[in-house]
Amino acid sequence: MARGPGGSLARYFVTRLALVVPMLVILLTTTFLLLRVAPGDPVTATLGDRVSEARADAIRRSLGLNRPLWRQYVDYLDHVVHGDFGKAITTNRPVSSTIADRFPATLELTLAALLVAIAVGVGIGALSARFRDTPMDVGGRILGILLYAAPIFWLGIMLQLLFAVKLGWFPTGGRIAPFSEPRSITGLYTVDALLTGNWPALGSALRYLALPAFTLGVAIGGIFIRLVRVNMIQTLKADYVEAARARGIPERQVVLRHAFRNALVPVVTIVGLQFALLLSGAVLTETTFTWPGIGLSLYQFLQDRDYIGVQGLVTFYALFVVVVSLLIDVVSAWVDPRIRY
Amino acid sequence: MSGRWQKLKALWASAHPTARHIIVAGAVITLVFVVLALFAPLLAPYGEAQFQGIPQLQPPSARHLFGTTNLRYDVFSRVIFGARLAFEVVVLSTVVAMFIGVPLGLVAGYSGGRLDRALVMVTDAMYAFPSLLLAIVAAFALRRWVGQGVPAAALSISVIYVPQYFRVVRNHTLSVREETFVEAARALGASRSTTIARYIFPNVIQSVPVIFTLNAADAILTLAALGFLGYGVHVPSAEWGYDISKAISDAASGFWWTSLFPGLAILGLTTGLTLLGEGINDLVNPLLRRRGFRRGAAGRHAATTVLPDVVPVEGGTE
Repeated sequence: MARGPGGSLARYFVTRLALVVPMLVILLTTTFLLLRVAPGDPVTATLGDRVSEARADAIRRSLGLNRPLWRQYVDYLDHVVHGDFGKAITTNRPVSSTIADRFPATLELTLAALLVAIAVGVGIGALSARFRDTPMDVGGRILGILLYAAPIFWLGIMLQLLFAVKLGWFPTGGRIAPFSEPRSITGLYTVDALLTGNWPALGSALRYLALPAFTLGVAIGGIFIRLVRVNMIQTLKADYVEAARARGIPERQVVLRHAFRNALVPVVTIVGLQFALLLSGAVLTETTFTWPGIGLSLYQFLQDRDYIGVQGLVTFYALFVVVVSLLIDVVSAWVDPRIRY
Repeated sequence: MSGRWQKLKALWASAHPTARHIIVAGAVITLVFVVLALFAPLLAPYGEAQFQGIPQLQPPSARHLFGTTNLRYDVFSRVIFGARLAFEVVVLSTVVAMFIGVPLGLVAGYSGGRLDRALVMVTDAMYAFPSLLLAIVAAFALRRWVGQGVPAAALSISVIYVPQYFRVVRNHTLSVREETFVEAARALGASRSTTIARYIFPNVIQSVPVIFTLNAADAILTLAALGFLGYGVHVPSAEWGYDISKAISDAASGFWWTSLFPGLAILGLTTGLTLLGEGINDLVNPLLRRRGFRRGAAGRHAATTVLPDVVPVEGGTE
C-alpha cells in the first residue's frame, strides 16, 4: 500500500469504494457457481417426491430455473442489486422479509459478543503484555489458546449445562420471555426496552442475551488476547515509550497514558479482520441457543435443503461483510492517517 | 540434508525455553491423538456404530468409561474413532489445498502482472468472507454432487485453505524472486519453469509446514462445525461435531456426558496442533526473516497480512 502524506480521507474513501464492486462481484459469482453449476436440480433436491412433476415444473419456471445458466446469472445479479434475494422454496416467503425479521437479533447478538470479546481481549491481552513472562502472562496466553481451540457450540452447551440446567440462572434458549417484547424501534430488544423505559422487558432481554453473547464473546476474545498482547509488547518497546520512561514518568502512567492508547489503534483493524469470524460464530451460537437470527434461519434452510433460501442468505452475508469491511477500513484510516492510498 | 539437520538442531538449541516447551507439549498432545487414530479399532472397546448390547444413556462407568448415548452408542469408542476421521479429513483437505494453492502462488508471485492481480483480488474477496460459510456452501453444493462423506467434507474445507496457501506462497515468491541467486539463474539462461522449480520452490516450500500445523487446528474446528450443522460426514460415522449436535437435547435434560467428551477431544487436539504450530512458527520465522523476507519487496499487496487470524507473524514467543 503506497503511503503518501498527500492522500486525503475523501480520496481514500472513493478509492476504497471502487474496490467494493469487484469484491462483491467475486463473492456473488462464487456463491452462484457453487450452488448452481453443480449438477442436479434445486427444486427436486429441496422438495424430493413431495410434489408432483407438474408442480415442480411450475416452481422451476417461477424461479427462472428453466432459463439458460448465463441468463440465470444475470437475473441473480440483477435481483440482488434490487434487494431481491429470492423466495425460499420451503417457506414460500421472500428471503428479504426473513432477513428483515431476523437480522436485528443477529446484530444484537454480535454487538453484545463484540463488547465481551473486546473486554476479555484488551483486558487480558494488555495485562499479559505488561507482566510479560510472569505467571500472569503464561496464564493469559494459555487461556487465549484454549478459548481459540474450544468449539463455540460446545462451549455454549457447557455453559447451558452449568448456568441454565444446573443453576437455573439463565434460560437455555430463545430471545426474550413470551409476550414481553418491547415496542420495536431499532429491533434490538435491549436498546428498544431502554428507549421505551420498559424495565421488565430489558431484564428479560438481558437474561436471554447473557449466555449466547458470553459464549460468542469469549470464543472470539481468545484471538483478541493474542493479538492485543503482541501489539502491546511492540508498543512497550517503542522509542517514545522508552523516552517517557527516561523522563522518569512512573511505569503505570507510561503504560496507561502512552502505550495503551497507541496499542489500541491496531485493535480497530483487528476487530475488522475478525468480523467474518464473528459472523461464522454467530451461526453456531444461534443454532446452539435457538437464538432467532439469520444464522438460525440459515441452519433451518440447510436442514430443509432449501437452495433458494441458502443462496439468498449467503448472498446477504456477502453484502454485509463487504459493507462492514469498507466501514472498518474507513474508520482505521480516520484513526490512523498513515493508512491512505 | 545433514547440513539442514545440523541447522535445525542449532535452531532448537538457540530457541527460547518457552518455545521449546510449547513445541514439546503440542507434539505430545498431537501424538496421543495420532496413536488413537491409527489404532482406533484396537483401542476402542466397542464399534463406532455398535448399539447391540449397550444400554441407553448410561452415565460413565467401568464398562462405559464416557457413558452411552440415546442411540446406545459407547461415547468412549466414538471419541476414539472420531480422531481417525478428523485426521483423514484434515490430511486430505490440506493435500488438496496445497496442490492448488502452492502452484498458483508460485506462478502468480513469479510472473506478476494481470494474472497475479486477478488472483490476489479473488483470494482477498474469499478471505473477507466468513470461512465457515464458504465451507458450508461448498458442502451444501457437493452433497448433491458427490454425496456426504470424507471426500466431500475434505473438499469443502480445502476451499477455505487454498487462498491461504496461495497468499503465503505468493508473497514469499515475490521476495525470493529478487534474490541474487535467482537473478544469477536467470542470467545463465534458466527457463521460467526451471527457475521456479529449482530455485524458488525449495525456498518457498519451507513456509508450508508452519501453515499446515496452524491450518490443521483450524480445519478440525471447521470439520466439527460442519458436522454440528449436519454437513459433515455420513451419519453412523463417529464425528465429534455431529455427536455434539445430537447431544444438545441431552444437555437440556442434564445428561452431560454425551456432549462433554467429544468436545474435550476437539479441544485437546486443536490445542495440541495450535501449540505445535505456534512453537514451530516462533522457531522458524526469524530464520525466514534472516533469509530476506522483506516486506517492501512484496510490493503493493504486502500490506495485507499473510495470515491475519492464525499466525501472529511479528509476534511469537516474545
